[in-house]
Amino acid sequence: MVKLVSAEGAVIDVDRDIIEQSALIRNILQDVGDTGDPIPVPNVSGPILSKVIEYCTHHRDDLDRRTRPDTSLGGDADEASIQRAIRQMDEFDHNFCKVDQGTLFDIILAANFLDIQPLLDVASLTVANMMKGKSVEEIRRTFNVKNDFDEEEEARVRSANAWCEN
Amino acid sequence: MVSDDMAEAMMTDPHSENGDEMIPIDGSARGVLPLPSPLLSPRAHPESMDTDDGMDDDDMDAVGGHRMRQRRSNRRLRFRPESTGGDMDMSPPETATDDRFDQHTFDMDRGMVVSDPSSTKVSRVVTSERMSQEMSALYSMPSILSTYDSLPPNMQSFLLYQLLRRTPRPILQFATQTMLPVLHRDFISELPVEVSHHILKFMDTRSLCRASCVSRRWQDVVNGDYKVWKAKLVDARYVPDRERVHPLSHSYFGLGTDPARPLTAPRPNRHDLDT
Repeated sequence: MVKLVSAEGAVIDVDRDIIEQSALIRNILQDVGDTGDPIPVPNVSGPILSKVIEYCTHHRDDLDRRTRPDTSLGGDADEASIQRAIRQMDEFDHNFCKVDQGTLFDIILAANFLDIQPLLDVASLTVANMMKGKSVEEIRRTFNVKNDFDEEEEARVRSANAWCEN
Repeated sequence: MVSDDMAEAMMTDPHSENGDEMIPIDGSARGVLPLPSPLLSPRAHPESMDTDDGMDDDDMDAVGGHRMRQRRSNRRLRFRPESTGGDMDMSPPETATDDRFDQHTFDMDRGMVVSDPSSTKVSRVVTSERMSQEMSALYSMPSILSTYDSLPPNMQSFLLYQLLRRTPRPILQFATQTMLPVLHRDFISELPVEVSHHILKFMDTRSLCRASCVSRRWQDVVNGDYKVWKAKLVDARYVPDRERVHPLSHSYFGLGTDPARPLTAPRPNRHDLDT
């Protein structure tokens, strides 16, 4: 058992093999050993930490996700892991990411901080899917982005990016 | 006279029990209404006008007067649930358009807030108590808000949870409509830039182009990630084979470093890039 302390100071117990999907925690445990002391996770709030643990618990036996993709035959490791993440996203992952944008945002931050690559991939893919196939105005509406181009500038940017539209 | 009427009514009319209940407070008919506002509602208006037009029990003919009163009582009974629904909008007394109804509500306020010593009728007292409870609840709203503001965050969420639990569905729907736009987050601008770039790696070329038109910040982030674009160009065979082996050993995209070496593929169109 490993004790994690969330941003609010709440202590959460979690099995070691579950939380070791986080490279950060795994490295801490390897470096200092399992002393039983609680590990502070000051960047992650309690509700988000339990979401992350829910994800890790579901994928605790999913060893394939934790290994780096095989690039011995050449090819971009980055690209290979992207393709693998798209392939591996299952129904649980889809449902896991069906949350409001604020929660998804915090999950991404937590996955980045805790260095849980599969979770970061799944959440990033969800955000990317929110943008895919949308027009510029729809993207602005989806993410509440203010258009800070002036008219002339926007026309220039649009024509510079028009090549992908045909 | 009145008691005769009532006795008659009890014998002849199955609904007289309701009428019985209403008649004693007939002179102070507004006392039975839960809040002042229903009287101001447009639906309630003509009904209450009718009950108010110089009615005097003693002037009435025994039978005709009874029937009339019966009719009124029934109507008022019908009107009561309507008005309870109508007070949802909580229109304050000041918005009254009719002077008479202003007077009305003023009397009612007095009846509710200051208990009338001359009133000995139980129903009147009970109603007054309920109304004064509702009014005092209304008046305590500012203090509820300041209490909420001064609570620590975890107690705020607890209080809010308790409030939401006892909130009917329409108000919950209103709450989500209010909350959802606030919860929208600008992922690309607000996340650390390396995480934004990671998100962009999952995008197709056309969406990347559109994303770069969203705002200045988005343009910087999208165009600032050469690895994203390079992957798209490699997929489209835009970069020579030799470049793929040592992608970082040459300058940006590896193009133009050796003028003698021709590109192995023509400039791609969108269909190439999206594969």
